[in-house]
Order: sequence, then C-alpha cells, then structure tokens
Amino acid sequence: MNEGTGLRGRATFIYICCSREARVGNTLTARLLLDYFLSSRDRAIGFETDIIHPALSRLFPELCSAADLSAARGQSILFDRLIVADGVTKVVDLWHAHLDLFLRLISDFDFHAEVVQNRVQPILLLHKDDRERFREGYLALRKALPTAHIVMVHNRGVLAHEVAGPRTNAFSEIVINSLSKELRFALEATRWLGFRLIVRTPASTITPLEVLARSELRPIHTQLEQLRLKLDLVHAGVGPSPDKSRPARTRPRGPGER
Amino acid sequence: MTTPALIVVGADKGGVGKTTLSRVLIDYLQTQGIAVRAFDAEFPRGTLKRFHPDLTDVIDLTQTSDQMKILDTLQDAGAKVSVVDIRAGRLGPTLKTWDEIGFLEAVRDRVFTFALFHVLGPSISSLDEITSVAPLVANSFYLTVKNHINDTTFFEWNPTAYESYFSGVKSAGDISIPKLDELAYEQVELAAVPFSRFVENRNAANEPANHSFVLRGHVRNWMRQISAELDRVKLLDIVGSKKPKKGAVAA
Repeated sequence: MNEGTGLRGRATFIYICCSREARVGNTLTARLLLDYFLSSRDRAIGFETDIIHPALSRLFPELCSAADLSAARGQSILFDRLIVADGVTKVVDLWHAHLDLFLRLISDFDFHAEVVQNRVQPILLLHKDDRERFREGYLALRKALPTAHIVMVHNRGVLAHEVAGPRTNAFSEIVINSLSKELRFALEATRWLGFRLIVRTPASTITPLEVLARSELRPIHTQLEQLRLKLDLVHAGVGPSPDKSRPARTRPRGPGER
Repeated sequence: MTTPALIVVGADKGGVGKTTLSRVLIDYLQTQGIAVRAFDAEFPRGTLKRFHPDLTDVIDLTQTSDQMKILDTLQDAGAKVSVVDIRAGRLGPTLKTWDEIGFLEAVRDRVFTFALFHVLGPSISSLDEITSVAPLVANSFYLTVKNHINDTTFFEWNPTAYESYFSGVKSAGDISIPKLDELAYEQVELAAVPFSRFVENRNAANEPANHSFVLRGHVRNWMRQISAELDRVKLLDIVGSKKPKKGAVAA
C-alpha cells in the first residue's frame, strides 16, 4: 500500500473483521481483504485471534500471525503492531468469541487514544446476523472506537435473506454474494489469489476456476475498491464523510492540492 | 507546618512484594504532587534504589546511624513523606527498636504520622505475622496488604480461617494488590524505571523509550486499580495528617 497515488499513505488503515455470532463470514472477509491487498501489490499483513483453528496464518504464515488475546504475549503480537503508523495495512480476523475481550482490552489499554494520536485509522467490518445481539455489537463497537469507520458486511452465503439491522450511520456496506463451492475451497484451503485475475491482464487460456472467480469476485472487488477510494478521499480531506460522527476534513489542504 | 509522615512497607516473610508496593506508593504520592524520599533497607545491595535512584538511600537498619538517617531527619528533610522498604525479617525488630527509642510515642503524640503497610502473602506463616505486628503499632495507621502474587485467595473460601486472622485486627483498612501480568512485570524490571515512567514510555534517563504498548497498558491498568485502593483507604488524608475520616481511622 501507499505506493501509487499521492492520496495513499496519509493514514495507516487497520481492517478489523468482527461479529457477535459464529459462522457469519468473518474469516472469509478477512481472507478476501488480504487477497485484495496482495493482488494489488499493496503492503499488508494479517492477524487472527482464533488460535485453535487458525486459517490465515496457516495459508500465509509469512504474512499472518495468530494472536491469543487471553495472554499478554498474544495481545502484544496484535496491539503492538496495530498502533504503528507504518503504512502497512493490517487485516484482523477477530474471532467472535473474543469480541468482548477485545473491547475490554482496547478500553484497558486506551487503544483509541493511541490510534488517534498515531494517525492510524481502524475500519470495523461488522458482519450482519439475524439476532438481536447484532445491535449490541454495533453499539459496543461505536462506543469503544468512536472515530472508527464501521462497515456493515452482509454475507449472503450464510445469511440469504435481508436483515433489517439497526439504524446506523455506517461508513459503508459490503455485500458478499454466495460463492460457488469450488471458489470457496480455493480461498479457504489454498494461497491462490482470486483478485489477481481481475487486476491483471488475463492469459490467453483460463481455467474453469478462473472463470468462476471473474464472475463471482468482480462485484466484491468493485466494492473493496470503492471502500478504499472512499477512505483515501475522506482521509485526504477531499471528500465528504458519510459518517456523520466524523468531520469530513482531517487536515488542512497543502500547497497545490485542490 | 504539616506533620511529616513516615510510611513503612514491611513483612517478616520474604517474597511477598514489599518492594513492589513501595515502588507503587512512591509513584502514587509523586503523582499527587507530594515530595517523597525513600529508604531501601535491602542493605548493601538495594532493590528499590534501582527504580528510584534519585530519591532513595540504601540503609542498614541494624545500624544506629542509619536509623538516625530516617528518624532524625523527618522534620527537616524537605520531603513530606518518607517511605521505608524494610527487608524481610526486619519488621518486628525494627518496630521494637523504634518503640524503645520513643519514636512510636512521638507518633502517639502526633509529632509524626506513621503508617505501616503490612504486606501479606497467601500463606499461614505470613498471616501469622498479623498477631505479632499489629499490637506494636496500636497508635499508628496499620494497613494490611493482600498481595495477590498468584491466584490464591487468602483463605476467603474458609470463613473460619479467614476471620481468625483478620477479624480481631484494628486497622486503618486493608488493601488488595491485584496480580500484574508476569511479562509486564519482567519488562519493567528490565527497564529499571518507575512504573509510572514505564507507562509514559520513557527510559531511565527520562527519554522516549520503545516499551510495548500492551505491556504499558497492563501496568497502567494495574496501577489504576491500586490507586483506587489507596484512594479508598484515604492515604492522602493519612499522610496529610488530616483528622481521619470514616474508613481511615487510626487503630
């Protein structure tokens, strides 16, 4: 990340995939985000807090770490890196069972003050479910990290119907359509980068899996591109902030900026 | 002029966290803007001095000259509070000596304020100390300190045993010291700085350091809990020699 357009690199983004419930697509979203950044040749690393069934660190051990949030060493692996404004995008797959612990730790550690001071921008990707606790999750996250951008994620593969959800002033919303079995296997069990097929010129021959990837991943890629563009614009102070709790402009315009 | 205060942190049993509490007390008082000096009775090595070198003297409490260093200078040392970290095994003998030379009588006459933090470990031998130490400081502020150095409970699960140690003691209060994460504790040890400076991410020379954000968080949170305990027993009222209020009554 932060190579390319001049807009990038002003804030370090941390994407935290979270949910109140199990099996709402948290890990898949984290995997897709990593895929997206790696395919775009951005600098990104990942973390996951489910140390019993690690997924990301199994597939990408050189880029991803499993952090046991119940012990100081694991907390250090995660938080000591998240607060650093090094321009490296961080993707966190927060195990649903650790959400309350995560909220307690960020309160104990004054995490919010630290990220604000360091110009690190958390983006909370909260996964929808059809239970009442979803609203609690939203409110708890909003309270714990008031300057974070909250992005609602609706994974139609696990939750086919529309969810009313709470009235929110979310930064954005991402819909992940149900993916075919072959594509899910490739994403969950291999290091294959699906978005690479979209950002690169295709070879003359493509496999059936690549055909699937092009059709099913393109809408997700478009949404992730839009999210990143929106983040870049908001943090460069040149776009309106749809999140009403935050001011649109975070810094004055520099010389030569429009 | 306010009455100078002497705070002694002691226990006859070793390894119960006397120096750790002394360090926290110094941090707490300094944070409140109170001038503090300290004496480290771990002669000749000194442990407290490692963390607070600028305000700590290493002393040998078996020597009269070193006793004088503490007691004869209380009035004009320039520090409102003197903290003495007494080495294991020396609490009883030191209190007896101070009784003999009339210091405890002066405390009774309000010439000095004297508070004893009696640090207890979760063992029978440690709790047994209460019955021998408490009577020696009958006119002082006697505070028992339950230092949770591990996950034991000071026999709270057994009301009979618990009551036998704590119910008959007239004290100014008891405080609980929660357990600090081992990794955080070790990092502060390595850094050799006061807890507060570790939290501020500074080194021994008071320059910016690179301490772990998480471990600083653990120490900060731990100190907050202890500060709440010290607020609860009204330590500032005690060292300020104000008339003790409810919850901070001299025994």
